Formats: sequence, C-alpha cells, structure tokens
Amino acid sequence: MENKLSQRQTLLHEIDPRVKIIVFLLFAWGIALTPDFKEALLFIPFVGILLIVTGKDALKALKPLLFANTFLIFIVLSMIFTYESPNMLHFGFLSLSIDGLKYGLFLFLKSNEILILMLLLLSTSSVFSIFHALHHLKLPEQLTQLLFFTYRYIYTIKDEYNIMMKAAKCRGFKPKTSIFTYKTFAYILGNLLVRSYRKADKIYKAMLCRGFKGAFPVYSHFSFSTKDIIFALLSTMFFLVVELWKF
Amino acid sequence: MHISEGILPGWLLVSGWGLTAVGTYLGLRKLENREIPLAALLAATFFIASLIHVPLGPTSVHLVLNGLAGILLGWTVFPVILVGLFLQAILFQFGGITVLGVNTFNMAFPALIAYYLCKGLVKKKDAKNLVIAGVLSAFVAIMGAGILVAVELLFVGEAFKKTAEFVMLAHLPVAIIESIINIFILFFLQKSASEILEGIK
Repeated sequence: MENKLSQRQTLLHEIDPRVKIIVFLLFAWGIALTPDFKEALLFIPFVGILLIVTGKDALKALKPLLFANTFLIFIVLSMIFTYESPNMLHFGFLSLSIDGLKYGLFLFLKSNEILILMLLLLSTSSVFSIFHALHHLKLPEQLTQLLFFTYRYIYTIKDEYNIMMKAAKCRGFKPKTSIFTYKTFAYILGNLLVRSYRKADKIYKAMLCRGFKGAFPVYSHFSFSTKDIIFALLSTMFFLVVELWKF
Repeated sequence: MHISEGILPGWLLVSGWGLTAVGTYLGLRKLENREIPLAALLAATFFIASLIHVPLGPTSVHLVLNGLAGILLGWTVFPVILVGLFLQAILFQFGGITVLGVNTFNMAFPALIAYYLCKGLVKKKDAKNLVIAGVLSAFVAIMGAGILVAVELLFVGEAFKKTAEFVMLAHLPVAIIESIINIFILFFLQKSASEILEGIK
C-alpha cells in the first residue's frame, strides 16, 4: 500500500513535498470551484504537462483511477437518465438527456483533473514524506502522529487479518450470504480489535522506554532548491492566468 | 459512499471542512498522548475492515463499521475517520482532498450520535441491550451517513433528486448486514475482553 508512483525517479519526484502539497491544494480548490465547462477545460494543459513530465509510468498508474471512480460513473449515468431538460432523446421506454450528459461530463472532467493531479503531485513522494511535509505545514502534532501510527499499523493489522482468514479457509470457510459468514467476519474483526487493545498499551510503554515526550524527532530534512522555486512560480502563474483571464 | 471531487458547490465544501475541523479539534482535545497508539491501532483496524467485502446475494458490500467505531472511540472518531479517509484518498484515490471535510463529517457525525445513543446500552452488557446497541449503531451511523450524502446531493440541484434516492436505497442493505456484524462483535468483545466495553468513556 505504498504510493503508486513513489518508487520511480522523475523531475516531479525531486520537488519538495511541501511545494507539491501547496500547488496541489491551490489547483484542487481552483478546479473544484470552477463554475463552467470552458474554464475546467483550461486546466487540462497543466495536467497534461505534468503527465508528460512523469512519463509513461504515470499512464500505468492512471489505470486504477477508472476503478476508483465508481461513485462518479454512477453520478454521470444517473445524470444521463434522470436530468430533466427539453433536449431529450427517446429510445422506446428509455429517455436520454443531452444536457444531463453535458453536466455529467463536466463533473467527470473536474473530478478526474483533481484526481490525476493528486496522483501526480502527492503520489510521487513517499507517504511518510507527505506526512512529514504536513507537519511542516502546521498540521496539529497529535494529528500527524495519528497519521504516522495509523499508516504504520495498517500493515500489522492487515497481516493479522490475512493469517486469520487463511486459518478460516484452511477449515473450509467459504464466504456466502449467510449468518455463519457474517459471524465469522465479526469474530475475526472482534479478534483484531481485542489484539489492538492489548497491543496499544505495550506500544506506549515501549515508546516511553525510548524517551517519548510527545513529539517525533526527524532524521531527514527538507530544503528548498531552485527547482522547487521555479516549479512553484510556473504553477502559480498558470493558475493565475486561468483564473484571472476569463477567456 | 464517498462523494467525488468537483461535484459539490464551494460553500458546502468549505462548511464540511469547517465542521470537520471543529469535530477533529474537540476529538484531539480528548485524546491523551498515551491513547494515540490505541486510536491509531483502532483506526488501522477500521481501515482494514473497510477493505473487507462481505457477500450479499449476487454482489458484495464493503464494511464501514463507523457505528462501532463511534461506540468505541467517542469524539476521537472524528480525527480517526479523517485520517482513514485521507489515507484512502492518497493511496487509492477514493474521495479526494477538497471533499475530505464533507466526507469525514458524513461518516463521523452519525457515528458520534451512535456513541451517545449506545454507550449506556453497551455498558449494561446483557444480551438484549447488546442486540439493541448493535442494530441501533449500525442503522444510525450508516443511514445517517446515507441521509447526509443524499441531502448534500440535493443541495447541488434538483437534477440530483433521483441520485439522492438511489444513494439512500444503497445504504439500506449495508445497514442491515452491519447490524448483524455489530451484534456479533459486541457479543465477542463482551465474552473475551469485557474490559473494552467497560472502558468506554
């Protein structure tokens, strides 16, 4: 469950995660608040340039996006079939709305622009360096710790879950729609909860033994380079041109 | 259900972030340093639970368990769900960052209501009360989230009326299955680690 693109090396990987987070937030909000189709189209060049910079690896990473977007596909489909407008196409009992299709595509475009930017800007750093950058961007200390720990424990819990599932399967468990299946899942989850409870205390004690005082020291530090400044300036300029020009 | 980026209007996105920020602030204030590993372990457990698909007839639904999370965590459910959804957003591109506030509120606020409704029942620990708590927490938390998503979609415009109805309907089977699972989990916790249910604040 590491970030999809974080293992490769491109220009985007070398940019300071703090800069990437700020640029991403700027564009995400800008695109989310875009009122019309034309303005949403104007952001495509920026997304395109970043895609080209990341190269063919990015295209591979975009594939799962289609599956991640189930809610959106559901929205677009329901727009086509339910949007009330004078512009309707009728096929027997089905009526399709052209305005609905347009509106659905507009939402689809906006949403995917933001998702692709998120993939390109946030997934090109390791998850831990994103958390570290968030810490520098003044996210509350407790929340950063919660993020670190949760991400760390997801693997631990996942391993325990896999072991228990394997044990259940060895005993001939096959998930079906039945009370027995739900009971089995419930007991596996109950077990995970109990283990988490018992583990938490040990972990805290171990942390205290190692001198935990409520904050993590960090070993690697960020530093701004010329690349970061150029990237930040160019992105901001692009954003301002789109937002202020209003073609 | 996650609302995707780019659908909701700005004022809704901003109010979602505002409410989530308040909830998270209050949740973090109640969270002592020594409880952080526990909160994180539970967050990770609920994260894994959300990846589990249980069969339902010809399809399957994934578990949400926000009602149970609410009972066990109280106000801490806000930061825990925020963290969980943030990780889903950056790891799987589910949901997104501008809608993270709204999505967190949709899940965490009904979970908090479930907490206040059920904590007394769970502490009594007899079978009848545990069954009521299991059903109540699942229905309040899941249908509550469904209602919030539906209302938000209606705010976007009349065009979303049908979608909002679909969303409400889609939450019903999840609520039923989660009632069953919650009941079994509560029974399990009472039998094998009753200190967890006693420890609920």
